[in-house]
Amino acid sequence: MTRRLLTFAIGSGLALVSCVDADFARPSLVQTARVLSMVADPPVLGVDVPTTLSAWVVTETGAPLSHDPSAGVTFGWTACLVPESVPGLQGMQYDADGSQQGCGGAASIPLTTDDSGAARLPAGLLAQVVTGASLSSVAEILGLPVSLLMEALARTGVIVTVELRVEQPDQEPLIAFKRVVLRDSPHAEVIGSNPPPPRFSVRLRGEDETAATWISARDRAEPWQCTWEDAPRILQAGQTYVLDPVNVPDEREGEADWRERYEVVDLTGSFLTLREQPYYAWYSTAGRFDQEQTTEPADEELWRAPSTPGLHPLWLVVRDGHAGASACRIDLEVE
Amino acid sequence: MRCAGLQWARWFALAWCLGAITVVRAQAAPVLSPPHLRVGIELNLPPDAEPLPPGTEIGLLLTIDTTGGVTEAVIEHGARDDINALARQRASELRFEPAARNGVPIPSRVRFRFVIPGATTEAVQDALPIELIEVAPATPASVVATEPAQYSARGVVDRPAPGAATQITLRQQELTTVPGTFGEPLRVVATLPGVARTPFGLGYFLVRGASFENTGFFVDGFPVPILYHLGAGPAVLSSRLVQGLDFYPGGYPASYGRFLGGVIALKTGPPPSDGLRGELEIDLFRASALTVIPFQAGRGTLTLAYRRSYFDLILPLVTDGIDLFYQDWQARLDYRLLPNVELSLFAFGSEDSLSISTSSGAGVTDATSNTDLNYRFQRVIGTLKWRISDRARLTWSSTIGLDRTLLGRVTPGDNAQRTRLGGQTFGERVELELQSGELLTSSLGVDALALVYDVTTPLPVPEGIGRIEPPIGMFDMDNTRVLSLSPVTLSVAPYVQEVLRLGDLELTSGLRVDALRYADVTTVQVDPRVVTRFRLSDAVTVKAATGLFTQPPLPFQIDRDLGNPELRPQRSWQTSAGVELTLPYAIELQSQLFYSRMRRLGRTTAQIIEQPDGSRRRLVFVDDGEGRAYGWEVLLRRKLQRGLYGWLSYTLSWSERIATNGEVIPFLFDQRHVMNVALSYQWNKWRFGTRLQLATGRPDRPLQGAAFDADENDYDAIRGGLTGRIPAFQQLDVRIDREFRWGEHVQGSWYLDIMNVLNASNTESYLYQYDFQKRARLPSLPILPTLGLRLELQ
Repeated sequence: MTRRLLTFAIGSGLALVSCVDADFARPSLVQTARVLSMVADPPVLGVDVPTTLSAWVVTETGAPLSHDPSAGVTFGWTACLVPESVPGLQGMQYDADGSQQGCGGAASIPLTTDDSGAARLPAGLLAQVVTGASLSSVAEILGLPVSLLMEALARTGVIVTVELRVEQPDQEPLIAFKRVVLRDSPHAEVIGSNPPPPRFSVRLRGEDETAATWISARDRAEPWQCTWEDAPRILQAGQTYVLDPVNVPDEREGEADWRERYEVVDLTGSFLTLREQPYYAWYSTAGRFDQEQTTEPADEELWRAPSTPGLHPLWLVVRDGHAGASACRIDLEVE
Repeated sequence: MRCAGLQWARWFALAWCLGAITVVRAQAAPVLSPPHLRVGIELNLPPDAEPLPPGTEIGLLLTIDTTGGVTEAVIEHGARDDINALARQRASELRFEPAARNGVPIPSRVRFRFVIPGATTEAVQDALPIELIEVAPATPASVVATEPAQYSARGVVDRPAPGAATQITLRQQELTTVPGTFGEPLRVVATLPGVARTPFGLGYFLVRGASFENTGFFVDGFPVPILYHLGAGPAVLSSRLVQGLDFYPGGYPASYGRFLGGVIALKTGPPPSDGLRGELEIDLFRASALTVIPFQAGRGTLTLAYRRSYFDLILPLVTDGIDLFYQDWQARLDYRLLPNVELSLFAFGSEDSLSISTSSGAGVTDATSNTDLNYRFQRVIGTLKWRISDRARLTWSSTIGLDRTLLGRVTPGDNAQRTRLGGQTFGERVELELQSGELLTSSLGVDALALVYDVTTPLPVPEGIGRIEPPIGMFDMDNTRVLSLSPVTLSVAPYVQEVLRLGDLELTSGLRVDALRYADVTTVQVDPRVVTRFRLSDAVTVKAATGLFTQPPLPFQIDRDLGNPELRPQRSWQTSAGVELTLPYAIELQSQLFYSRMRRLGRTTAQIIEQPDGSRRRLVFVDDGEGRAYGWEVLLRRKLQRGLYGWLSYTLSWSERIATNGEVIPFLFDQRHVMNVALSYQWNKWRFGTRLQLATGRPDRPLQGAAFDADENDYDAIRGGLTGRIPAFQQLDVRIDREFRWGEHVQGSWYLDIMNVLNASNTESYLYQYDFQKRARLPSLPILPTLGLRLELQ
């Protein structure tokens, strides 16, 4: 019977990837208004520490889309606790409500959006998310014993979901969400940080690594803006370039390893220590990426430059796998 | 869809009523005359054959056409295999004065026996009313009647075995010539009432609203994990070794157990053969060979069979990145140790291998991911059948089996994942059947089974407490634990079944007691079952059944690390009531209502509990799931006669699960209407067949939008409840068979079987663009023709 379940699941899955030749757009190509990144600063924090939430939203042309109520564009933020879910097998889940992503409007509290479109997750949020509820109620929502919730608060933290809803005139709203980790830790107010701003090199495929030129958002006033570290390089239309993120840790710069360790509860209910890892997501409005995302050790990305000359935006979002993220944009000149 | 459903229901209600009226008229005043034997045949043993003891009988069920010829001879009570084959051959040479109604010849069916009093044989025509079709006893000089003279207008043939509320038995051509099945008997089950269709014809049966793991596959009384090869492939057993297939959509006898829904039971045996015999079969996808080697003058038979696909040779010519291969083998030894003692040893195995390294488009999957699947299993079944006396039979069988499944997957950014699922099966069955006069038949037995699993799999830390799913690389080593599991399930089930016949009433009461031990559970489950059949007239039988059924949890559900070792067995209470009608032209109609209540179903949960010793454990599964299924099934069937057979099956059903908040929601594979029509006609050496399948699409959650997950860098669909459905399914298949004979020793047939001949574009599911702004249909199988050749060498 186990084999039957396994075969059924695998057979269906294999059929999915083998029988369809769907003409789908690649997620790395920005062609519609969308949210590219959300950042909480800090992403892992003590329960009595506030955090700032911001999002990187772009239009179909790649232009920034900002919170502008006068133009009918509004950013609305909410926060909530979402009971964890375990992926189940078909026929074994009895879910009456269908799938809810983000906060779904239930048991959530609205956050105040400032003029820049950012929001602030206030201190003491946990008690506010479940209004008037005791820890035992929170434990019930999460399906945890109270003692484990207390221990989890101290060791793993409790994941709070924040949701962003971007309203635009005459368009469907954009919905995005991310998580922040609240920990009841006596050691530090800020427990986990975001990865440093992106830094990566560019070289023509086949070129020696020493010929690569570097792009970085580090040490900039605006960390979301990447610039050439040396003279700007003009890319050749239709040529394929290697985009190579800096090694972690960046030994040339003498940086410390930013990858933090954190605890989780594994399948057996025991605590397990994991370490963050960089994940690189690349976007542009033109050209073609070889892969949608990369990670170590094969973190290099290939990008075939657009065949049309001009300035083309390129985004890089770095995620650490534990609620942390950083991102930058650069406009590359193609001739 | 609801209106369409009502229309369907009206049509079938009308058809049902018309059928009933026809029966009543047919019964009005039949002036019938039975068939009479005109040309008797002696059954002489071959000169070198081992003698048979005096009084040996061979019982046959003969079908006689309107010319008095025998069109079908089925062994009911056999002797040795060589003698059975000879009896079938000689029976076909018998000639009768055909039965007649009002002087008009009509087909009939009669029981017939060859009795061996000494060195010679004599033919005996029985007159058992339950087996007669427009037949009266005939006692020509050379024939001895052994029963009182009586006949009935129409008898009920192939009636369910005692203890079964509904049993559908298929034979011979019905099993091997249904279009769209590529000659595979086991795929015919998918056309029967109560069976919902599964995506891509994967061969898993969703019976009467139960999930696919709730229907059991049995070979000679022992469970087997799969019945079909991958890729719309054939069964894992050669059809030539399948002597019969019993399909119980529910309410199965007490001799079977450990499944919540229905049972598909194969009975195997050596192919009939009078001498050394070989068979070759070849089509576009696979080739097979079979040989039958009698020895010791037919006292024993050795059968060997092997089949291999050659997708691995064909697919590289058509596409890159897909590699498919399967093979199966069977070795069977049958030996008559004593005149009343038979031994058999049946070993069989199967292997499937599939590798895919391709992508279906950007945003759906990684471009260079690779998935490998390989599974194989072997079984050995030994059986001893001892006919202690005319009224007592003992069957003792044992099995041992090995299973192994390997699943590997390589994805950019991930470590290679290797999951290994092994298993060992040990089983024993003993059954004693006692006939206590005409009124009572008893069966006593014990069915014991031990399953020992061995699982090794990498598992990522689940999302939830501290863990956030990374964008890629779920299986990176830091986040992955390799778990080794060895769950064991032991079960011993004594059972008893009593069949009481009081005139037209047959009452079957069964009791099965399953003593189960697995993980932290030791329990005894008592399953009483009752089936009542009452013959209102020769043409009308009403029936009702109710009973309890038990199924242990699945192995991975009870593991201490990955599951809940305290899960209780799943239970179902099945009830059905219906009517069986015998209509003119060898047509019969079965109609029944069914209701099944399922309790203690395993469902997933994320709950973590604190144990008495202070340690914590994820439950993963709990056993508070509940479900129910109910509906109406109808089977209008013409059995094989004068070259024509066919059936129309229709199922109207609701399959529902009860959510934790009490809301009743449809089961994921609920299908309101399922209809199958199969027709096949033999004209001289040609056989033409067609099959039509219609089915309501399964439930679907309508897409309401999508949300961007900024941590995982993907979009998650926002869906409503299971309120929508994918489009209805329709498929037409055709098949042509042509028999031929080359000289005295070679005969065979070729066939053209075209699945989905109209190339209907059916939807199995949908694929979505990364942001769910665009979708594509996941189509079902397109037109799939195959040309095959089967050769018999003798």
